[in-house]
Amino acid sequence: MRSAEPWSRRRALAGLAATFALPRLASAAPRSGWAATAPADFSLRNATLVLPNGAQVRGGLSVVGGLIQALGPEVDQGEDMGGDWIFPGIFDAAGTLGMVEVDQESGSRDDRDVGALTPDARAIDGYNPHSEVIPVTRMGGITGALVVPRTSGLISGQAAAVRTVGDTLAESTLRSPAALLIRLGPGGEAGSRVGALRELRAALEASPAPPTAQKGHQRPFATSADEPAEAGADALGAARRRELPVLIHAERSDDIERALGLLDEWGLDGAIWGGAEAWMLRHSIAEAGVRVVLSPVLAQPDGYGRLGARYDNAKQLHEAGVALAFGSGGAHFSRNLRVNVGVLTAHGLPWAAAMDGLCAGGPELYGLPGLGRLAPGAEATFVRCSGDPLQPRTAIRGVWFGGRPASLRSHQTELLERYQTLSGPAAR
Amino acid sequence: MMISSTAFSAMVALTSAARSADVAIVHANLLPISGPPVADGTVLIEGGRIVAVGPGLAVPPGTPEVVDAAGGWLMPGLIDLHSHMGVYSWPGGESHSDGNEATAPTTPSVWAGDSVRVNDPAFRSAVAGGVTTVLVLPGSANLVGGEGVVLKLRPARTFADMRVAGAPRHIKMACGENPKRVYHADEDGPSTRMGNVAALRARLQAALDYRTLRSKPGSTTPTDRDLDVLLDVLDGKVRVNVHCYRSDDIEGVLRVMDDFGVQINAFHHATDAYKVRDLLAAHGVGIATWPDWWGFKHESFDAIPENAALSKAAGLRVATHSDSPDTVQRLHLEAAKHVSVGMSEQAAMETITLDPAALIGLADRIGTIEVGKDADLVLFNHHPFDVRALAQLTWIEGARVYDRAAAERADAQR
Repeated sequence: MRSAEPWSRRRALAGLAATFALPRLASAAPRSGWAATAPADFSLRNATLVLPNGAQVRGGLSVVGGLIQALGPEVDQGEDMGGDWIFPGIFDAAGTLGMVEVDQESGSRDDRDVGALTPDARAIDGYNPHSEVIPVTRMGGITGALVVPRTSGLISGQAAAVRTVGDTLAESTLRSPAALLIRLGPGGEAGSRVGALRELRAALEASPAPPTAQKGHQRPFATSADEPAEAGADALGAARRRELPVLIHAERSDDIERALGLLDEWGLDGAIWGGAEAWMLRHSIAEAGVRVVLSPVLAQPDGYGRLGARYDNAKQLHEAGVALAFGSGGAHFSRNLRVNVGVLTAHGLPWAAAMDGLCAGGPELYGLPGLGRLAPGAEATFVRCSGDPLQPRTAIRGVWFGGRPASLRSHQTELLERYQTLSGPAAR
Repeated sequence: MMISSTAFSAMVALTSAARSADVAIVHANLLPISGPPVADGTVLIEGGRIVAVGPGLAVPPGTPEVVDAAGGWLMPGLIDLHSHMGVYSWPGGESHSDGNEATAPTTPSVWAGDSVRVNDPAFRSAVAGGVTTVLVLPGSANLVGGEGVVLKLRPARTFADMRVAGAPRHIKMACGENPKRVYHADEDGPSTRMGNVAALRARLQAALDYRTLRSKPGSTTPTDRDLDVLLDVLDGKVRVNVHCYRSDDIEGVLRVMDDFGVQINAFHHATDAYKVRDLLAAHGVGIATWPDWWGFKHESFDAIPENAALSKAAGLRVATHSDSPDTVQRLHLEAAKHVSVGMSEQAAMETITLDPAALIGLADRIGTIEVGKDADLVLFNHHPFDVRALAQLTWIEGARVYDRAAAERADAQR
């Protein structure tokens, strides 16, 4: 796995400039409340700030040009947060946000099968930035997500990293492609594990050999704007050149072992998605430097693919030195990530590791520097809430993207407004 | 001064501790649900029942099991009003798919108890989450899916030992998208919401006609077990639980049941309940719902996190249900989520204890920590609404059914 990209102010600025400079489609009414104008500078004070090491510091935060300029006790001006917590925002590291409106309504789904081997399928081609699910997700404290092209297939295609804000694809996209998705396990088009691995190897062998594949090669950071999906035509080649990380879905320990073998054999740069039985292979995973995107976060021993699932999976992985991220796996339940990850802390995962995996795990994995940690120079993307973000009694109270406050309205808040007081004749 | 019966019994408990006990739990932060939290609380158990509750009670000499619960939080065992454990046993798959008798739109005479797999590992996981009583229901493929069964999650060898003897009968019904989807391709349907309602009405009428025919002297009308069960429903002998999401579906089912004089016990899932909470209150119907599930079907698309809080404030009995062998393990945190949208902590606690106990029909036995009730208890290491809270000990009728420390020791030796 790539080591964490050294974060730099220059790169973050480049990323912001690329995103903010995108032209708006004429006359589309902004629903996100995320105006296209340059963000105003502002400060917030009297907040509980969650720092990258997990420390909770009472202080303020100043934002200049969409970036965090300073934070800590020394910032004592601006709007009073009344002690509310500010944390960097959750990144749902694997799911189908924006691809599905209603699970059991086929016309609202774009995450369906298109074949077994579709490395050229792109999630962004099915992404709907006006999905009603996105504002609900945002108000759950989620500021970014990896969106997978579909939840089946052997080589499923190219995932996209998105913000949970924006009225157009261009505004929403953080990076596309952000990962190539491979799925190991039972069933699927290939029918069995034996058949699936056979097909997968054949596909890799048929892909062009990398010119100079070198272990540890670092993919240069680039934004969606200045590197527009070059990998689209040859995603497998891009993966073999280590320009595109591979996200391999595997839950059972032997599938995870196969995934590690594939990454090593083909010199791929990648991570495990799923990981229900990853604790069994924690030392091998740590040695390979492969991140695990736990999904579901609280996997249960409920099927033949994950009979070894257990609550202290995350704790054991963390103690072995495995970097973590967390994915909801679906479209509607990203907002449950924070409490589910909180449950992992009850089972031994340190709070700081839980928060860091939740907020920074995805951005690190998919090459999105400047997101996921509150620090001077980082993008001013963060969430305000009433207390510890991992606690179920905590309410989300505000979301900012690049220094701009986002709308807190959603389908659900509009329903609440309509029915808070019952209208019309009393029903009997 | 008016003294409620609850307050009176609490005073009795405070002044007259039992003379003997099988189990004493001492120094607990006590959440009796029937009253405010008690610091340094003692609970004495004898013969599977609670025999004394109060702050700092003396432990009768010779009590064989004394548990020091200092720093812990003791509350009634949690109750899930909507479970499919046992009828969709782990590991999931076609072999264990025993929850929907999807062979006809109404199958009143099937009973979930006949599908329960006693050794479903999910039962053990639920006890580890502090859950002691569940209502296991058939699925929602059918307009009338059959009867449910009330189980206590003791590690029993036999189904008979899990079943709560004397518990009220419950029947599961459904409306909306599931029945019409499942039977859409059938010649007789139903394939629409109006078809659902008409079919339910026709079946209840058939039961009344059957009774008329059977009551004629010399009747040769053969026994029909399905219609017999529906007659029990019409006679108020069975609690009616209806899977229903949309408010207009709720209205439709109420219209039918009003016409036939049937009282509904609870609408389950009921993600639109907040829109018609006055209607539900006027009918004395409770709900069982989630704090935040939504969007998996169109009829669940208007779910809002405030649904339970608004419904509770309107006077409804509200059960926080799981409908899941996964979330049932964290029912206390599901209830805690209601607090983030304005429900009081006491009310939120009631949604996993007293309210489901009342809706099951066993509020005289479970759901609070009061003298005379079953000693179904759970001891958490933190406040149950704290995400760090884990059940340390769970008792059912005074017997330890879960011990986290022992479970962890056993796990370490595997």
